[in-house]
Amino acid sequence: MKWTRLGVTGAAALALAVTAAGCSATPAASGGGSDSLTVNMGFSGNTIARNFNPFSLQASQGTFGFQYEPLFAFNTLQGGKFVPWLATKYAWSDGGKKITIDLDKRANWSDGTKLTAKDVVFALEYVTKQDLPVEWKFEYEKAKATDDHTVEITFDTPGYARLRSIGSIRPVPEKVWKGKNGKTFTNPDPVASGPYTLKRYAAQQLTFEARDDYWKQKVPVKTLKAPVVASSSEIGKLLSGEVEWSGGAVPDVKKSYVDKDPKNHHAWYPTYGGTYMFFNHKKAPFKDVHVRKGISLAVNRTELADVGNPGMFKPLNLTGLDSKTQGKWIDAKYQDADQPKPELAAAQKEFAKAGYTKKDGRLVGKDGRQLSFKILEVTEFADAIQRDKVLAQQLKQAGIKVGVEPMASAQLDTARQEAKFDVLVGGAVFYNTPYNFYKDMLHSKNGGIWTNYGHYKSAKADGILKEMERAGDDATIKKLSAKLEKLMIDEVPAAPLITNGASTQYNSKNWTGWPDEKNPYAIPAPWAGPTDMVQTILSLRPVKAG
Amino acid sequence: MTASSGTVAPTTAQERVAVRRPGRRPRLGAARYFVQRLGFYLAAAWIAVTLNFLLPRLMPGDPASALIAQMQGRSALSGEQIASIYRLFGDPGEPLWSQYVTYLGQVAHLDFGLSVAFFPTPVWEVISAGLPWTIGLVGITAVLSFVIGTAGGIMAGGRAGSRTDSVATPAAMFLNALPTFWIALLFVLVFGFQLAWLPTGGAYDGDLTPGFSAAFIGSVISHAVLPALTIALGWSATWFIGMRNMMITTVSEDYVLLARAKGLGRTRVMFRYAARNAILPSVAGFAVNIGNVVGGQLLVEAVFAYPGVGYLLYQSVASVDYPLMQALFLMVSLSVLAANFLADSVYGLIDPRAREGRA
Repeated sequence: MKWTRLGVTGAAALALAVTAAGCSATPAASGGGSDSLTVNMGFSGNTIARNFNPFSLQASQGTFGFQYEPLFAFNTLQGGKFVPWLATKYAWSDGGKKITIDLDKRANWSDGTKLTAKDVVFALEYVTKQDLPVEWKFEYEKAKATDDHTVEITFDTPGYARLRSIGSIRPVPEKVWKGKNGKTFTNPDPVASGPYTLKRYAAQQLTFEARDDYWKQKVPVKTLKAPVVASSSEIGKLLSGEVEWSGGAVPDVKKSYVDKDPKNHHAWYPTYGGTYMFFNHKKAPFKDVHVRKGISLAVNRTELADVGNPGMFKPLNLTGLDSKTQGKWIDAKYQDADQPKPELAAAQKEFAKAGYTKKDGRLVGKDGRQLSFKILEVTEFADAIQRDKVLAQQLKQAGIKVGVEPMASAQLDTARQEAKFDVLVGGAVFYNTPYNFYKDMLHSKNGGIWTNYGHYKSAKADGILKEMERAGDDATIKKLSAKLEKLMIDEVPAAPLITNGASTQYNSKNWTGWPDEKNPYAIPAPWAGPTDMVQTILSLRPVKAG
Repeated sequence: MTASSGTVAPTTAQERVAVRRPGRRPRLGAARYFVQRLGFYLAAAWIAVTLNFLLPRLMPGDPASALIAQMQGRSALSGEQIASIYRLFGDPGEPLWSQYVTYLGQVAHLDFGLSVAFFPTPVWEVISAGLPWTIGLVGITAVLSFVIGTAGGIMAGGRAGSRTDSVATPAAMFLNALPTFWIALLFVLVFGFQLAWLPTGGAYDGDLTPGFSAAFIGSVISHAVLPALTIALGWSATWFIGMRNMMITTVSEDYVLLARAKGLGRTRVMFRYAARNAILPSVAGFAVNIGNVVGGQLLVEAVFAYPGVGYLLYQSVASVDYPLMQALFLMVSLSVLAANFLADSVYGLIDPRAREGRA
């Protein structure tokens, strides 16, 4: 009996050890004190690198906005409304070949010194000289500081289309950055102009502290904690209140989060882009406009919008632009160019023009073969694969055989660049004007890159885009945009499917003033970058206890 | 590692050795055995180092396009930005053999340059942020599960069919079959969120300053309990089952019967005669398991947001980060080799047949 006894004792000792450890442990902090806020910024791994270099692609979250700020921005949710920041205004002259930017005279750095026009020019030249891979890099002729608060940039050709990039210039203090290699400097202790400074760096949490001398306003949230949160615990931490602001896409968020405490739990996924079906224009049968139109007509967009997260997304206007946030730019004719339900009869007509007829539930071409194609998708994107499968089911109703093939992202990338695929489903985003959106999707130079995934090539589209690039006023841009909108509807270079929202969950128990449907002053997602996320944090007000 | 090869009575083998090689011969055999093994392991190390260089480069994609694909998930990239990314991370334009020579130099100096996924952080800095956590968590858990599982296996297998055995064995089989990922999620849900006994993620409370304070150390321990339990459950069950099965075959051997017949104490028979033989496959298995210790536990780390090497490995592969991948894979393969060499040496000491090259 000796073994048996020992076995039981051993197990008991183990159990005791476990219980003891459990009891001595401090319970999870319930976050959200009177002046602090815990945010899940969605760090890509389990460790945060101490890299706050604003010119680095892998800069840690919190480098932008909380610390480095842009000159100005545009609110995508309001058709690209101007949002002044470090700069109060800008003016074009010389037919768009010159822009004059006025800086806010209050702007200062976190070390107390003034932010001047020289710092702006320095950042612009620094990026150009060192060939840094920043998103806002653009071609210019010359940049100069005419006085402490005025910057002048000149161009060879009209620079209107570069406005968004110009606004995104993120100045850095010249005295810190001069002589530094912008590619390899990690900038561990940043000196920046934003509302927060880095209080403590730990590999698993960044703690930001509000600046007392922030130039723009008083900062309401004094301490901002940004811990690493595993995506599997995101919803649990949101429900417990440990995390009050989060940007992950929570499945069925209305049921799993909002309904648990409708007063305080909010999920708002404002439209900042759309999801599109990209046809390979280098391949039959997608070269045929009638095939593309037929497929687009056979899609059930309402059903597609409710896959995964019911109630958060909507069918997209067929111009590719969202009628709510981009309505300002959509031609009156196309304001209601929606197609929420499949129109199978009209689809059959289009297919017939391409030589396809339906026989025994199969859409058969002249060669007697069924119309069939594959959608490629990245293996890790489980929700996208599910959506594509729903799409495949819908097209089956029209007699088309659609398969979904998951693959590694690097492999898919190559297939896309080399135009070795049938159909891809992907996203595109809106900007201050429809120019960049349509240029991304339709310009022949962007074939295979971003977001002309289908290698669409059209002299007509290129021509309209060229005119649009040189347009400086909204009325002209809108007139030219209408031509591209018509092209989207007539030619269906890509089929607009559903809106794409910036996933955000927030808790209004301790803090109010968050943006919402009624007051869409910014995209609240903590990953949205400047100026959206900073505007959000600066607009919060504490909820008075009792 | 079949049951029969590990269960020949040591006395018989020793007798045979004594007959054929009297005097000092067995010792010389031991020295030659170690030299032979060392040579073998050096060759294996070179092959590992080379494969480690070649395999990542056979993967589809390159660092620049992987990075671009990742960035495009978040925001639009301009054509110019894409061009600068290619200039920064793209094809070095260097022939493979010259890259190989550079790489061998890096291996010799243990300096792998800058990580791509965490550019411009040096590889050693990235690894040293994760490795201590992994070794601390997985290392201690591995040793504990080995000790607990093996001891339990000896007890259960030594008296197969006893009450302990009939309860513990099905329980171990059940635990062994549960996916680690699922246990981890269950633990987070029950102990982390519903009972709120233990923290649900991270290696320590982010509000504390790392250091040798009681609060910090306590926080580290409380954060390690759930991930450690998750790993330990499955692992100790595996060791338990393996050891129990070996014990059952061993206790029915003639020499164990003989030992019992001689009237030796039960403890002595179980440990000195049966367990000493039955444990051999487990020792070898433990050495192979060292790879897990150094390589981290991806799924557990992912669920508990634990800052270990497993997730770094995943990130390095996803970003086609050759420098980081090379350093991590090299670390794993070399430690597995080192552990196997140690295990081989221990084998040589506890099992004379291994020295004879017959085991």
